[in-house]
Amino acid sequence: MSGNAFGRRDLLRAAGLTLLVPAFLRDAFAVPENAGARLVIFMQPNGTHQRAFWPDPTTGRSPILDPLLTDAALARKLLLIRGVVNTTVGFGNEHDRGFNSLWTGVLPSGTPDDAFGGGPSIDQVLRAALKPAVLFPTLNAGVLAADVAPKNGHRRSFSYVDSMQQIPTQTDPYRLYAALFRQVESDPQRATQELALRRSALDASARDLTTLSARLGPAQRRKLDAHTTALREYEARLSQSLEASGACSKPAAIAPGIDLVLEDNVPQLTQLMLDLVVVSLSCNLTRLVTFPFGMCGNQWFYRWLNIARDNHSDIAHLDTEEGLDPVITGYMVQISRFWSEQVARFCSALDAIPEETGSVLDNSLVIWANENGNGSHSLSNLPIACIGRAAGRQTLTGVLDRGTQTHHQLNTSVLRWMGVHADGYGDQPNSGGLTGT
Amino acid sequence: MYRLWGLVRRRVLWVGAFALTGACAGGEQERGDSAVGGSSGAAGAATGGATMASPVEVSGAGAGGARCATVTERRLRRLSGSEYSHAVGELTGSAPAAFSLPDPTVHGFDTNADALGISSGNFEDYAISAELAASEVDVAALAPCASPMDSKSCARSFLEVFATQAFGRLVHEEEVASWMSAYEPARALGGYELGVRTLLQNVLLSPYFLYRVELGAEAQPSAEVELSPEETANVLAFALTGQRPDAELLALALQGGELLEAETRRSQANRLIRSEAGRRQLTRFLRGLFGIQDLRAVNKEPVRFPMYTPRIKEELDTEIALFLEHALSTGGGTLDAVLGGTHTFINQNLYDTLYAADYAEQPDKPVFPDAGTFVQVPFNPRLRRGLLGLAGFLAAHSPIHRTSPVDRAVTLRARLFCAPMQPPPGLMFNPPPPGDPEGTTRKKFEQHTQDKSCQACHRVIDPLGFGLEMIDTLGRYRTTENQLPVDSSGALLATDVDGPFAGPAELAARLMESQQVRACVVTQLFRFMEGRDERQGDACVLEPLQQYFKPRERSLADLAVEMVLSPNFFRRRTEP
Repeated sequence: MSGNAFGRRDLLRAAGLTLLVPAFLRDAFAVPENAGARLVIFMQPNGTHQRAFWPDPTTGRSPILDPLLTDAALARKLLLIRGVVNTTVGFGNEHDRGFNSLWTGVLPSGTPDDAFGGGPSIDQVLRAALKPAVLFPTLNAGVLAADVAPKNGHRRSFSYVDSMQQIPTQTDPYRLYAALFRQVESDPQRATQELALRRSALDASARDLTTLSARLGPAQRRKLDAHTTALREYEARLSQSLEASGACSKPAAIAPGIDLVLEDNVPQLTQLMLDLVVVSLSCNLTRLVTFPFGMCGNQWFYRWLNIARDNHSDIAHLDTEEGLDPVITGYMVQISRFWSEQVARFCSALDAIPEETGSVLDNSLVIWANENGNGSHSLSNLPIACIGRAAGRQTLTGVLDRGTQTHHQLNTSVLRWMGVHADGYGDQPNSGGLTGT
Repeated sequence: MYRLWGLVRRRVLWVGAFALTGACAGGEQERGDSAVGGSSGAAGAATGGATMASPVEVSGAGAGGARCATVTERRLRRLSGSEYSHAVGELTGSAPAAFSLPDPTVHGFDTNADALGISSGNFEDYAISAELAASEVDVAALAPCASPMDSKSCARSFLEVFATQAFGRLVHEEEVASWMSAYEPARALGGYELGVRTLLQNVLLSPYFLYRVELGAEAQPSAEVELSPEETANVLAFALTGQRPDAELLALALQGGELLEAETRRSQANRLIRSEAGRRQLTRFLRGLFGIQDLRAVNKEPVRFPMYTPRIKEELDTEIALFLEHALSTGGGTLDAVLGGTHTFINQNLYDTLYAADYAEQPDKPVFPDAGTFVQVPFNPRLRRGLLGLAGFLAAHSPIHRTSPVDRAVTLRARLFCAPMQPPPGLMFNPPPPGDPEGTTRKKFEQHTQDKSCQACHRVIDPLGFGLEMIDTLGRYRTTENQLPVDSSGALLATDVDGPFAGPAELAARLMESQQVRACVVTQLFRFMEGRDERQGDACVLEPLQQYFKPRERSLADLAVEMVLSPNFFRRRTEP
């Protein structure tokens, strides 16, 4: 796989060097009218250095954001939201609350040491509201290369179906590739028969789910509803694979042998996973994506940036607002800039893919957020960058700075940008949206 | 092959049976249920060892006796990843394709019913796993059919037995008829073999296989119901063995009410917990309790510690497995055997890489027959003792580049004293100053407590972690760090065994004396087996059990049996 994002032309080339778009791709590219926007949420751990994040009012430049600001096409579609506060209290520390509450809008659940989301996260709220008719209505993928003992399992995802019901983050590009681009039986008759067998298994399972569900109360039934929904989505994907009948274009297979838990592979894994997300979005395989850039509160060493220090304890926690230790602050900026570059590269790839109206980026809302406002666990002034036009619903550019605004207001505005009517979010049903939007 | 034949033979027997029967201010968590957790255990005298009264008798609330305020809700519990893998392996003869997505844990346990679900994030794993298992199974061995002309009957017989084993209950005629509808199309496509594979795949994808069903009879809202005999058998078997009921237990369940009698349950519980599966389940509990589920997933900074190879990690995991096996068998399965074991099991490679410094001043060094063979070796009694002394445990609770006295202490307080520490409020968060990068870890962490706002908690936390500083992030004994002497003088504070200690051996000796630790282990076992956190109303279950477990000669297996016999274990409450 090349290091570049896949473009539409790459896909066509992979389909057999023909300009005749195969059925699968034709369907895939055929984004229905009024489909609304796509949403991608990136979460970065361990805060940022505030003074290096927000653009200088005079020059308009920012050491961290320059990869986005200096690309004129992206800068025109960039909105920075200042003053957002995650007001959540309860289980876990501020790292945990960044992951378990920023996008759920409700108090965390679980235990003090194992703090999970207390309700559905915004990707699942949107899924329920928009019911996107695509093969992967939501996709939770990311890069979590292990760096410490896996005792913080609750920190691996910020996507929740329900209280404590975390959607696992797919971190394996090989598996994601296989799920997105299924192998199909080359003999159509055989393929039809095999599909029938698979469907029979799924139908039998669905019948059992229905029978069981009838005996349950509302809370337990919700659990099975998520199961049933996943089953039906999987069934739809099987059918689509068959309809592609082997003509489904797919990128070249990922070279084998990448160690998924080795931190030094994070840049390569990030690139591979983001490339697959670009394909998923541009082919209309999915419309709602959540993507952690590491576990919350992670302890990566960023050796690929020649840092080689625990970014949590030995960098983020030592950074000060004034930048009293220039080496530490330098590392802090370098790390955030690395993620800024990944976001810029991702957005540029989306912007390079034209659609009937604008580009894929124009019809998307890409949010790059952070669990903390700074390296000292602050939940105030979270650095929020929104790129894209959300299919014309988000038209602001520059810095939205209207003082303190809650994460409920942020989520409410995101819902509205995605075309969903909302007066509030989570446990604040009347929070309203962001002031100034 | 022989094992598979054994399975088939067992199934035939089953079919016959079925035919016949049909503390720091603001720091430690203040929880409403703290009274039933570990802290309560510090009070009160230990029950005399001679009486060995069961907690059921103590409470006067045996099965069917007085009822507690808290009854678990009717629920479905998804099998955890390890339960699922084991179940598929037992049914098909081979473990399923590894899942890429680990289950979330709560208190270190992967059995929490609320946290386990199936969603768009992991359904495909189950679907593919079922398909692969079905495609790889040896049909001739699993579902032999002597009469090809009557293959449908063979398939049906296979389905009845296989589904019964997979679901841990008798399957009903209408269910069999429904599932058999998939057989004929498959047979038409690929003969009897594909027909059987398809049935097997369907069973492995059924929610009756993927979940443990704990519903009881239909009832009004907010009512308490008894689980059915089959559900009771499943609850008993999963709690004590982590798997579906075996043939004997299931046959009992299918006979109806006998399993609902307390003595039958006790006899079955004793049989199960003392089986190989029972020991495996206790091992799983202890690995979760101590946060050492899989040492192969513990990483260290590769540049600084190139010796921490996959091989070493594998060997550390083996060391823990052998240590626990010994503690639960030869050691009598007591908490003392776990906390205070005087020997470990290592090979030459582990010795050379991680343990050699322990024996530097000892005249008699361990002898190994070759590089790979594991040998029982006495700890240096001055330095290490018990599970907390194992290099793997201490490495698992250290960051990748250095030790963290705070991490180790917080883990020990949460897991063994049931006293989790509340993280500092965000607005008060005061990161430690950088300190001298060439100094000792202890010195850096001591600067925490210079700030008064930190002292409330860190004066309790840090001394516990400091006492383990003689063991580095890999689990090696050390006397210096950055050419400076290591100070391992530590202390336990705000516990029932307060006092100074230095090193894992002295800490173990204190923990073995602690009734607070014993009470906490009871609470942790409850969380592990019930699949939920304790609540205020669970005191009537936990307090008698904590009383029961006070004598140090009582084993974890005995405790597990008493726990499953406690009131409410086989009752459920309908939703309001």
